[in-house]
Amino acid sequence: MKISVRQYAQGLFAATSGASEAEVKTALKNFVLILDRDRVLGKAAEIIACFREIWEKEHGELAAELTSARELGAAAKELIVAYLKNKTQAKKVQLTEIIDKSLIGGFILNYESRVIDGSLKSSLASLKNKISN
Amino acid sequence: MSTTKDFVIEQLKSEIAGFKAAVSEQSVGRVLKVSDGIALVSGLAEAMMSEILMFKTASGDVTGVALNLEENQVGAIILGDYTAIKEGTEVQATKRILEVPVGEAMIGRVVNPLGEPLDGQGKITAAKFYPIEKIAPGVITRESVRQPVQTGIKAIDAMIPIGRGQRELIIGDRQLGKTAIAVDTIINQKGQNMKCIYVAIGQKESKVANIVAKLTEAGAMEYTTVVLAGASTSASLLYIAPYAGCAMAEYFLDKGEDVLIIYDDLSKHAVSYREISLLLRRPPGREAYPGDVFYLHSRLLERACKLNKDFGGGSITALPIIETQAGDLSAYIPTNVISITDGQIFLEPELFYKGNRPAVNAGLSVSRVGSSAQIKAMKKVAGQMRLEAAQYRELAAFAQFGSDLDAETKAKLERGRRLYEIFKQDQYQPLSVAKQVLVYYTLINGLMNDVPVERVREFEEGLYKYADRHDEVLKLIDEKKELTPEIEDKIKILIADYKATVDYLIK
Repeated sequence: MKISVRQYAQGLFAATSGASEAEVKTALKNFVLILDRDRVLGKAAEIIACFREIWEKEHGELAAELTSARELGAAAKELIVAYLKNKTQAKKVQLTEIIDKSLIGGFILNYESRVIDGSLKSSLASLKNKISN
Repeated sequence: MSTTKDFVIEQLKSEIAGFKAAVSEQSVGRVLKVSDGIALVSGLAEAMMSEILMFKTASGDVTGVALNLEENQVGAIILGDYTAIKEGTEVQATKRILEVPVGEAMIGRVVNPLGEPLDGQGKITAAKFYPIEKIAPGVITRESVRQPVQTGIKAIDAMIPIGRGQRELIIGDRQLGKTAIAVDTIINQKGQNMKCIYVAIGQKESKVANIVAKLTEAGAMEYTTVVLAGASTSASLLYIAPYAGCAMAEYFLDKGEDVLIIYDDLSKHAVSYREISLLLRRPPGREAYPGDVFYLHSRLLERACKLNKDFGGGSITALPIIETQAGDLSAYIPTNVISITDGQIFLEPELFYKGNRPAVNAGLSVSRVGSSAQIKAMKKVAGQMRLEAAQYRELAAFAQFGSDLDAETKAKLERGRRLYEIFKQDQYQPLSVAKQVLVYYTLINGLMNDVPVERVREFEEGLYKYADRHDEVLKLIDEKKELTPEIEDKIKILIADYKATVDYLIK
């Protein structure tokens, strides 16, 4: 049977979670041997991405991307992080900040495969849409 | 007090000040791969099957439809210009299943499969949208087919009657007049309480332009919608075209009206679906078509139906067209569609080149609904006529071997030759039922035996003109829809009177 990328990543996660450093090293060595045996070393990048996803999910980590027109204050960021924690039950939120002047105001929050668009740019666009139609 | 300028302006200002675009969470993904109208998208965890996806490109939004839902990615077809879509383009789910505008506003228009106008006659404001995929009506809602669809083509109305709610396949090689039959049928629906939808799938746009011009000239665009997915359109639009046409038909069905829908043609539809499926990496089967190519057509044609009174009593009659390669009926798609439909009209090259047009092969063509979809008068003459046609075919093959034939056989042969002469009919000249009954009555009762074979058509034309001038008989047939002895007497008198005016009869 063909083993999917996700299954490899799940296997790797099971073998490495809670293990000591030495154990992880042997596990990884064996894992690479298995990848070689199955001739899927070319898919290593995908497996790593999938592994990261699983790890983050299991450990309650969440990566989010915050785009705003200018640097947001600490209080605002706090609010956003709290919202994300509440929404996704994540324990730790990794916030990447991007400054994009074209938003004019407000922010866009990206996490997992969802987006919250609270930027002035898009509300102006929807106002324009509403008036012209 | 009437409103003042200032009042309006103040109101507008406060509206704008109070305007707040609703901020909500949206499901998004990113394009991993684009190729030939297909996109692979990551993310979109909650995408639905055939959900509309919005590709946010630099030059505006492009619509797509989710077709493959996989563990980590979504396969989508792109309905529009896919050149602007790049790797990493943001894709938004809309939580809406693909739908098309429907309604009275679509009548008389030429639209693309998304319901956008192509005829330059301005915007279409449709009040309603229907999903393009819908489960066909169930058993409880249906009833058996019993009203006729008058195609106006003599050979078809008599031998292969089509009923409202039936699915009748038109099949044959290229250039044998498949579309001509469909277009004639549309033209003949004038005043028959029928809406028509012509779906052109992968047709040359010049051909469609011709058809539209003909329909306009005949006044048929007053009740017709043309859904056009031309040869230069992407496979994804070709694929949704028949479903979109069917959704537009269902609007009228729900209002209890009768609709005729023509899919021209389903072989090109299958080819476009094959293209999409192969690009989405679905496993190919016979002739490289995917495994669900049967379901592709069966779910479409099953939506043709005749509903009973409790459900509005409307109907959708479907005339799918299939183009065969060198008369090969046993190819994959033709056999599939033959088995789905309630009969087929088979067009044959030999007949066509002999000059028998429409080149309907009476032996291979069938209508599984049969004579229940004919008016009584037609039933009476057609039953006998079908027998004559069959006997003639048998005798004609047999008579080639010897010239010594008895008088009865000779008479049968002569009559058969006249019958085949009557089957000939020019394009764009559909004929009313009453006239068809009249001419068949003349033939089966031997009243045409003294007309030379080569002048049968001339005789026929004259008969119609004469009957138009003395239109009492035609009106009676239309009204009573059956042949009572009194009407038969009147027909006999009419024919005798007409024959007295022609001078080429065999003495």
